[in-house]
Amino acid sequence: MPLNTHSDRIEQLRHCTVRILFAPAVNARGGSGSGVITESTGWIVTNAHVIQNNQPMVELHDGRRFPARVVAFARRHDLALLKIDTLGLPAAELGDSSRLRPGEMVIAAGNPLGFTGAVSTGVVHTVGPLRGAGPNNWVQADVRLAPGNSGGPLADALGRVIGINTMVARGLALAIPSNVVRDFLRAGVRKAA
Amino acid sequence: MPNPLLEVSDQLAAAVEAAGRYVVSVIAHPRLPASGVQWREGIIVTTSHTLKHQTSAEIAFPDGTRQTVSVAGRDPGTDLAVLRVEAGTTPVATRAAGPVRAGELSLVVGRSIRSGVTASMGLISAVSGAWRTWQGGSLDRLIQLDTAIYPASNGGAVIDVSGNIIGIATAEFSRLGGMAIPNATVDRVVETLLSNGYVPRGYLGVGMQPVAIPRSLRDQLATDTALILLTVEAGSAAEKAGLMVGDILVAIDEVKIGDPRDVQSVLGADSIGKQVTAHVIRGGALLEVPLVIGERQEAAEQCR
Repeated sequence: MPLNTHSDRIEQLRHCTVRILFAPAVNARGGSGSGVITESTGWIVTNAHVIQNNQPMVELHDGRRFPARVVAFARRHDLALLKIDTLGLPAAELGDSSRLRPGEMVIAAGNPLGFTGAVSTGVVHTVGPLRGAGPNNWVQADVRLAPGNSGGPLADALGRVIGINTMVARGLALAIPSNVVRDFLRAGVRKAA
Repeated sequence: MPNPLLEVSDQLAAAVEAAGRYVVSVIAHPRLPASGVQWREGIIVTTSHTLKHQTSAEIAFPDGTRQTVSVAGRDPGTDLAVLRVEAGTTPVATRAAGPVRAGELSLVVGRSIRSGVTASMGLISAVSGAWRTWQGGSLDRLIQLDTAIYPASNGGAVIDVSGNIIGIATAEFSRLGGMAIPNATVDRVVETLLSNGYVPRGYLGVGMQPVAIPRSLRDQLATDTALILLTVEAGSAAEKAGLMVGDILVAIDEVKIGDPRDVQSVLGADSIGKQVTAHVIRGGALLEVPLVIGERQEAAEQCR
């Protein structure tokens, strides 16, 4: 069994991962975060803290750039939904975060430290609240993240997105569970329709 | 279509699930949760450093039950502590067969009181022979991990990919990463702690620092560093033998002393009460001083 099916899935995940940019005039550092395409019609999920109050620009894996509209914004969940006007995008499949098991492998994709389309792998540490990180459940992962991974996908071994990478606490990667993301996404798309 | 990554992932998750059955949560201090392993029937092993100065701890078992028990014994030297618990449904840890090798995959399995079983993964980065810890304990082998040991995973199980235990996880000894306290060391220390409550250790009662020894004595002694005594505790074995501040300790019996670890190597449990000869330089001359090794007080260990 060739291992390239594994690389293919990672490649697919990278194609669904976008970079979120701001004009230097808006953000002095011209900083960037990550996001994940959830619908081929241009719906993108990222962290609310990546967007702040700025008008974001989305850069696809192939380098094309699109101005994005912020369709929904939930500070409480640290999630934002963006829309870009294009079709036929590669979209990620959302997995079921309630079925995650400690020890199963995960893959993070994003743009840490300004690199584009970087991936790192690790395992699920646990799923649940973390002392000092609020009452929310987190997918806690033993995987190396860096600034710029925020808003990007955390996927399982099949490349299904099971969380949105949000922060690092005591070395642990914390991702918003995909089931929370799914609810947010449904509500956001409904509102936009 | 089979996916090799998925198969690996499934096996890792299954190993963690298997180990999770024998890993408990140990809360001695509310801000310092740790993990522990059901080592034998009625015996939980955890790390000593996570207990801080507490003498009891609450244990949360995989079946959801809890018990608050007192600490039966601890050994900061090997960073192990033992707790006696009432019989429950938690099975005893299954042991890995055969020697561990550098490069093998290993996982650290802990238990969080909030979210249950926890895992991290990495390689065994080095395996070597017996190793003395900075705290003076001796590990049967050095098993160094590149696996992350998150604070609450201390005291948890380091396992192989089949879910069998290789040792107890501790981040206490190395800044480079975690270590597994080997099964053989745990067995030995548990035995001693259950009968004694602590691990007896020889004691001299001196504070020391490495120094270069006078050029004129280097050839004769075939070494160039030794330890100068900076303090001599009142009533200690060293004081009774007549050792003085400023003496340079060169050897104890046949063991050359160039580093504090060399001293620890002659202060094992069997050294207590033994008469040895300390070779010291005093006023430029080499002296032989007979010395009876004392015993480190348990209280001193606890207040470390």
